[in-house]
Amino acid sequence: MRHALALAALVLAQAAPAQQLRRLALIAGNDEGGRDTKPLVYATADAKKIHEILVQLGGVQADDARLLLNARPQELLGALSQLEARSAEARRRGERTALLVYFSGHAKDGALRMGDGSLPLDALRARLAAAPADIRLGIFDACRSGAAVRTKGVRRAPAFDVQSDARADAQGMVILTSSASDEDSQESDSIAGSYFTHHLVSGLRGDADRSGDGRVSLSEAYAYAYDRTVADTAESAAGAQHPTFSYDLAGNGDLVLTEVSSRREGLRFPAEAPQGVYYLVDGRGRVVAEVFKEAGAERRIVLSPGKYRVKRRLDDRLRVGDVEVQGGAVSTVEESRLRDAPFSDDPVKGGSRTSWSVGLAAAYQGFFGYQDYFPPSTSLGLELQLHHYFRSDWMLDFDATLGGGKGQVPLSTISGTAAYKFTQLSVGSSIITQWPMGDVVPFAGVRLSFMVLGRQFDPAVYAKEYQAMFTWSPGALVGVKWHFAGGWHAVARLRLQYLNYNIDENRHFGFGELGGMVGYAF
Amino acid sequence: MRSSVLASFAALLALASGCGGDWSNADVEFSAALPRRSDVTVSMPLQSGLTASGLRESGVTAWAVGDPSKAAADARSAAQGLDLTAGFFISILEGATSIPPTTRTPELRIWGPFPNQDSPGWELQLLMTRKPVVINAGGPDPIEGFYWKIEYKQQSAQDWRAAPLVEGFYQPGEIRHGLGAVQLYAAELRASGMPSAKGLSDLGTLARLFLVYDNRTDRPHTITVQATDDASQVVTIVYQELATLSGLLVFDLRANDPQATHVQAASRWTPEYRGRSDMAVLEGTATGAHAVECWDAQQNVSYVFNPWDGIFGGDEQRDCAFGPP
Repeated sequence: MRHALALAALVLAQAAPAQQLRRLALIAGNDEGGRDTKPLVYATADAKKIHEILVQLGGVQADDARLLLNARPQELLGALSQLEARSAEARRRGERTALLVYFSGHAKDGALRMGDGSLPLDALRARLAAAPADIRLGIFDACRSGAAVRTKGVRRAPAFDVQSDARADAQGMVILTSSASDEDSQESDSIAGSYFTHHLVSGLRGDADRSGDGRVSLSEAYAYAYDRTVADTAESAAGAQHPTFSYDLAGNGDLVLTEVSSRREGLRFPAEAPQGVYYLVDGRGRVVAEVFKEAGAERRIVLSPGKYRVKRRLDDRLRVGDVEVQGGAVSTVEESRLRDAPFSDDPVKGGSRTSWSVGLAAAYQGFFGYQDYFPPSTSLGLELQLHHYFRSDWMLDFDATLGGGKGQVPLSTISGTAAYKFTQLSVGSSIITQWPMGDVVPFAGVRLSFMVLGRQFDPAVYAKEYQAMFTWSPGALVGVKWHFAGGWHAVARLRLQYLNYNIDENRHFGFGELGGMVGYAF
Repeated sequence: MRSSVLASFAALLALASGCGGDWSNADVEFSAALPRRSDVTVSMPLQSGLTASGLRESGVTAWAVGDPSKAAADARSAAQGLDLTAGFFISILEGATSIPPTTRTPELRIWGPFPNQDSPGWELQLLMTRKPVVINAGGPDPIEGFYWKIEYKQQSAQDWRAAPLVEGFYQPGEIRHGLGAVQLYAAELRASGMPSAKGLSDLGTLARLFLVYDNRTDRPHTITVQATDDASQVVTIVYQELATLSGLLVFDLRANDPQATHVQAASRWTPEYRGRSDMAVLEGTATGAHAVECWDAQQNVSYVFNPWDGIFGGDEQRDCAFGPP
């Protein structure tokens, strides 16, 4: 069937060159689905991927694309109105138009959930059906999004038939959904996205181009995304997820979604490369594409210029290598340049499962302008970090630090100063978000610590000898982490903290802590 | 679960203000201005086996060369009494400032009120201020210093008694060294009806006790106690450190004895506790009379000149550790 489709598309494309098609796209992603839903991790990220590829390869001018992240239903409908107006105007000028609406997020009870708001699927579908565009394409990557098409001939099948009327340009509406009306749409940490959108993107980058004509058509993209999504979710706890479609196109019924041949830069997997699934990971540790390489067949996908890590998973290890895509050039993935790596060196950082790491930290601490009260000090600490607990790339850090130094209390009515030994014990917790860029990971976060400070005087100076203070201290931190070997990493970090002092009088202190840590991730 | 953890964290961030403890630079300053008990002492060699007999109003008395020196014992007794008196008041301050103040303001610290454990139903508080005051401590010039006092009252009373139990001044100089004065209002204490506090249990007819200490490092340490009884008789004892373990004690009595209304006795001792006492009648019908007694390291009389009792012995030049004052 697929070969027939590819052949038909190829013949049609050659026999009846389509009139130039003005493409407009509305792309929305909502991580939050409001009450009774768990926040999604990758919905907005998926929307960004779709937006990027449509502008890059899908023929959508940047000005004709609207990307809405965590927007409300009114904003989505407003943006849709703007695009409808543009489409109508273009049609009045005699242009053919295609309007694509993509949504990634929650859907429940027949409505898209957008934060605390909702947008009924039936209404959106009706709105899309009435839109002033020659082709209307809706793609919904949401739980039970199959409800969007169930009222009209929904089918879940690996491919749909293309009506081949070469005499007329395509007109009508197609709706793709990531799951059937009774299924959940699943996300995966290992690919840092939803299965459906991930495979759709990979397909649009060229891996779905089964015809080899340098174009990825709607039917090719759907078939690719369907196969891969079903395969990946078949063994999942939530059960297999079946993308669905509703197809109502007349004329030259297949729609070219991306022109991979229009971009020269990308990656080529030569025919002799081992078969298997290759993951392409960008500098931030995100899987940007997945290529299913068959034995003896060459594969090629389009990628933006940049450095990528290629990963192929075997039963007992990974094969990993770096490749750089330069502008206007196609780089080749050579098996000889891949190396064996343990699973702990998986370059996919963004979507790891919850894991722990420990670290030994050292720091230098100084107060800003008030060293009469608190002297500079050095410290050593132990840290325990919980990764990807709240969400991917977020980290919960627990630390315990012991430090010390020497200080002096200046005496205003007595000649001399009162010297003391300073000690500080603090236990803290931080919430940190990270931006993986390969082995280097910048991060920032907030921290709350409980500090117990003490100072020991010479009894010849101060009869009581010892003073102590305990307080809460909120603050913020920034830093960078470097994975240098296996699970080992080094951290350079700056913390800025606030301390309220109200014993002698009410005063506000700020202090900074510049430190480093060596840690190991399990 | 995860949302609640985040919410809890945010709530803690919002509540993260304030602190507790006693971390106070000003407390250090208050404390550093006060002397240490160990720095306000009478410097005298340790001596066991001697019993203090009390300082007699008539001053020096001895029987013969070679007898145990009464003057040596009296000087030691007086010195020890002076040391205990100074120590009592310094210890009050040390004890109070060894715990965190109850109230802090920029120029004031208050410890208490605390119930007086020696006097049920009564309570005490110590106030210490860094607001400068000028006092006359008996020296040639007034001194500027800071003020403290221990107030007392019945727990049921609204106001503290007008006269404090003890009040004091100190002139800060160097850390734990300086000039200070303490005054005990003994008559007012007796009149209040508060059972005598520990250490003040035997006030007798004492009406007021005034103590001045000076342990500044650039001069000899001195302690002066002036006691006034209900009959307005005034006894002044002045101690001056001469060297380590060596000192001078001047006993000055203004009494109602017409024969000797003003008597002064001065005792000096060496680190080996060889010593000399000189007694003189400065006012009264016996004005001009004087006596001398010197003692050796075994506290036996080595020289005596006592025209009142007709006792003479030894050679002053040879047998006395000190010459005439």
